[in-house]
Amino acid sequence: MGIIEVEDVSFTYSGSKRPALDHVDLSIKKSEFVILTGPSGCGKTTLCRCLNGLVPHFYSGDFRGRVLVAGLDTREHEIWELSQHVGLVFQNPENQLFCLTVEADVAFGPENLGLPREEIRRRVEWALKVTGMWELRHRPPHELSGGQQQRAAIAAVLAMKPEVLVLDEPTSFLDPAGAAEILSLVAELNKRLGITVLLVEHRLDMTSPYADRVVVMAKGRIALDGPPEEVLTSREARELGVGIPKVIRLYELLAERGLRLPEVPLSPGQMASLISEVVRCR
Amino acid sequence: MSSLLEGLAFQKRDSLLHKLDPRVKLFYALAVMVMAGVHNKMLPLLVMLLAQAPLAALGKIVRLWARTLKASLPLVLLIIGTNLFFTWLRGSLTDLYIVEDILALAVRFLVFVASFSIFTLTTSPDDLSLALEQMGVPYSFCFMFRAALRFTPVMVREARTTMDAQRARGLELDKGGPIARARRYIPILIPLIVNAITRAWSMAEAMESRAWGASRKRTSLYVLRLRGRDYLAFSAVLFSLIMAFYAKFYLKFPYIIPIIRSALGI
Amino acid sequence: MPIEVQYVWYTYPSGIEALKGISLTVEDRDFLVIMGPNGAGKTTLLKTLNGLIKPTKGRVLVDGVDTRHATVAELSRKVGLVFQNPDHQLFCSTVEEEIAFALRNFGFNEEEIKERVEWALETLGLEEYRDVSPLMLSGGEKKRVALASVLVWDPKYLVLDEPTLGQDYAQKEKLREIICGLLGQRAVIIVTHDIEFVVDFRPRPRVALMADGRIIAEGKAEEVLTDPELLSRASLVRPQVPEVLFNLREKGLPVRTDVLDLVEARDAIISLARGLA
Repeated sequence: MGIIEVEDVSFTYSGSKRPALDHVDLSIKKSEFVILTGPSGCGKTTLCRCLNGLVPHFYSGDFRGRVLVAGLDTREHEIWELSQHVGLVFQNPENQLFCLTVEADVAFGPENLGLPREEIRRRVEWALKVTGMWELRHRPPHELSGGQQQRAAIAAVLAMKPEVLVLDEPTSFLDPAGAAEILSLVAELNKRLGITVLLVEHRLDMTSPYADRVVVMAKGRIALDGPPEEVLTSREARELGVGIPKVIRLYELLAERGLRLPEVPLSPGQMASLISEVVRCR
Repeated sequence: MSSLLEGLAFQKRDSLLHKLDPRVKLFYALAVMVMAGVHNKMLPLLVMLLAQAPLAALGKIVRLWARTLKASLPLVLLIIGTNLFFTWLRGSLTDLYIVEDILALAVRFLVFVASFSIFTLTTSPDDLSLALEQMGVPYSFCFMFRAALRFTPVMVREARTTMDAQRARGLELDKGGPIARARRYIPILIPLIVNAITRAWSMAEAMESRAWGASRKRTSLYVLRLRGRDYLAFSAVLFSLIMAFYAKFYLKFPYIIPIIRSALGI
Repeated sequence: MPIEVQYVWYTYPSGIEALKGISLTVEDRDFLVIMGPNGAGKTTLLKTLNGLIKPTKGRVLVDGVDTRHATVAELSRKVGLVFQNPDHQLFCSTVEEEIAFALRNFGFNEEEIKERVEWALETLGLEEYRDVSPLMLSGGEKKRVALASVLVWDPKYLVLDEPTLGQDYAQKEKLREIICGLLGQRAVIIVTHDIEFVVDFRPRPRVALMADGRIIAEGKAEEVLTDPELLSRASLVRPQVPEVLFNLREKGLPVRTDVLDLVEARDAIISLARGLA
C-alpha cells in the first residue's frame, strides 16, 4: 500500500454547487517524487488540502470516498496528527511565517505538539541544517529573500517530521534563482532523506527532470498519470493545456524529420547527450 | 504618526538593556508610569524625564528614542493647547503657577512615551510575548499580539502598493475638500481589507497544518530565566518606585518658575 | 516623441539605492522587455515612468515633459502602468465599474466612458463578466480586468509588471495573444522573469537586462537571451532551446547557438546530423 491512498474521493465545498474533486483516485508510494499539474481551478489545491486533513476538518463540505495517509483515515484523525505525516507548504511564503525569527517559526509546530524541549531543540536544529537555514536562524522573515523565506517555511514543516512533503506551487512568487533554489532543495530532500514529494507546479521545464511521475488534473478529475516521458509526449496533455517543455517539443520536431532520439529528453543537457550520441553513430 | 509608531518598533542591538529580561523591562515601564502618575509637579516629572536619557544611551537607541519623543510633540502641544484654552475660559491664564502645572502635564505625557519607547525599542516582540506567556497570559493571546506586529510592516507595504496602483489609474488623493478626500480612500481601503481577510485565511490554514492547538500543554522552546543583572535592575526600579512615593508624601517640590525668574533676575 | 530615461538614480528613504544610473529610451510603438532578479530595481524603474517615483538624480522625460514637473495623473494619461498583483487594486462591485474607474478620474464624459469600456471588455474577452464582482473572478480573469482597467484610456505607453506571475500555461498563452494584438498601435513595456514567455513572442521584443540597479545589457532578444554570461549575471535561467545547442557545442559539435526558435533549432540540428553523416 502506498503512503498516500486517495480512494474515489469527491468533495464539494459548502456553498458551492460544482464539485472541486470528482471521483479522484491516486496512490503515491514511499519516496516517490510526483508532480501534480493542470490548469488553474482544476482541483489541485483541494487535493493537497485533503492530504493533511484540512479537507474535511478545516474546510467543510460534502466529502465522499476516503484518504489514507500512512494508513490513517483522514476523516478519523485530526489535522495535527496527520500533519506529522504530511507537511503542507503553501504558495506564499510570507503567510506561513508568523514569528519574528526563522528559528521561532521552525519551533512553532513542535511546540504546539507539546514535545519535550530537548526534542524540539534537536528537531529545529536538524530542520534548519537540512534546509541550509542554520546561519540565518536569527533573522526576521522580512529580511530574507523570497527563496530563503520559502526555505524557512519548508524547514518549519520538516520540523514536524513528516514522511511526505506536499508543496502547492511553492515557487510561483519567486524569481528564477529563488525557484531553482527551492526545487533543488526539494529534490535533495527526496533523494537524500527519502521524503516523499508531491509538488504542484506549472513550470514543467524546470521540474520534470526530478519527477518519477507526472499527474495531470482537469475539472476535478485525474486526467493523466504516468512517467513524465509518457505524459508529456501524450496528445491529451497538449489538449489539456499543459505547458510542454521546449526540449520535448524539439524532440518531437526532430522525430518528424526522421531524427529519432532513443529516449524522451527532460532537460537540455540530457537532450544534447542524446543528440550527440545519435549524430555521431550515423 | 507613522514615525511615532516606528519609534516604538523593536531595534536589534547588542546592549545591556536588550539582554535584560523582558519582564524586568515591562516592570520598569509600568513603574515609571505609576511614578509619573502620582506626581503632578514640574520638578519631579522633569527629573524622571531626564533620568531616562542615560538609559536610552545604555540601550544604544538614543537617536530613535529622541525621534519618538519628537514625533509625540504634536500630541504634547495638543495637551498644552486644550488645557491652556480651558484655563483661559476660566480666566486664570495670568497665573503662571497654573501654567507651570499645565506644562507639567505635558511632561508627564512625555515621561510615559519615553519609558514605553525604551521598553519597546529594546524588547523584541517575541521576547515580550514569551514574558506574557510565562506570566500566565493565554498563548493564543500572545500569538495574536506577536502576529499583529509581524504583519504590520507587510500591511504598510501593501497599503503603499495599493496607493501607487490607484494613483496610476488617475486617483488624486489630495484633491478637493475633506469629504471628497475621505471618499477617495475607499479604493485603497477595500483592497486592503479584502487582502487582510485572505491573508488571515491562509495564515489559519498554515497554522492548522503545523498543529496549532494540538496539545493543551504547549512547550516553549525558549525559557526566560532571571539572572543576577535582572535582579539588580529589578531592585533599582523598585527602589526608585519607593523613593517616588516617599517624595510624593514627604517632600514638597518648589515651582520652578520663580527659580528661573530669580536666576534671570526678572 | 519617446520616453527618455536619462542617467536616473534613485535612493529610497530607507537608504536602499534601487537605481544606479539608468539610461533607456522607449520609442513610439516600441516593444521592450525588462528582465532581472528580484531586487534589481525593475519595479522602481517602472514607477519612475509615470512619476510615482521622482529620480534622486538624472531625469525622465515623457514626450518631452520632465516627470518632476507633472502630476502622476497627468503622466498616467500617457504611461499606463499595470501592477503585478490585481488584488492590490480591484475594489469595485462590477467589472464594468472597475474598468470605468480611471476614466471617471480622468474626467471622460459618460458617452465616451461607455464606448471605451465596451472596447476594453471586448479586447480582453471579458464581456460575460461585466456585471460580476471582480473579487469573485479567478486569478487569470482578475489579471485581465486589471489590464483592461488601464488599457481602457488607451495610454500611448502600456507598462506591465510581471503579467505572467501565478498564471498557468493556457492563461499565459491567452495573455500573449492579447499583448500581440496591442502591439503596433502603442508602445508595450513588460517586466518579467518568465524567459520562455518572452522567447515565444512574435515579433520578438527588445530586451534589457537589469542587475543591482543597473542595465547590464540591451539588445535584440536573439542576442541577449542566448548569451549565457549575461543571463547568469541577471540570475536568469537559460531558455531551453539555446541551452540544448550550447551543450552540443560543448561536446565539440559545430552548431550555432544564437537560436531561440524551435523550428530554427530543429533545422540547425538536422543540418548538423547531415553534415556529420
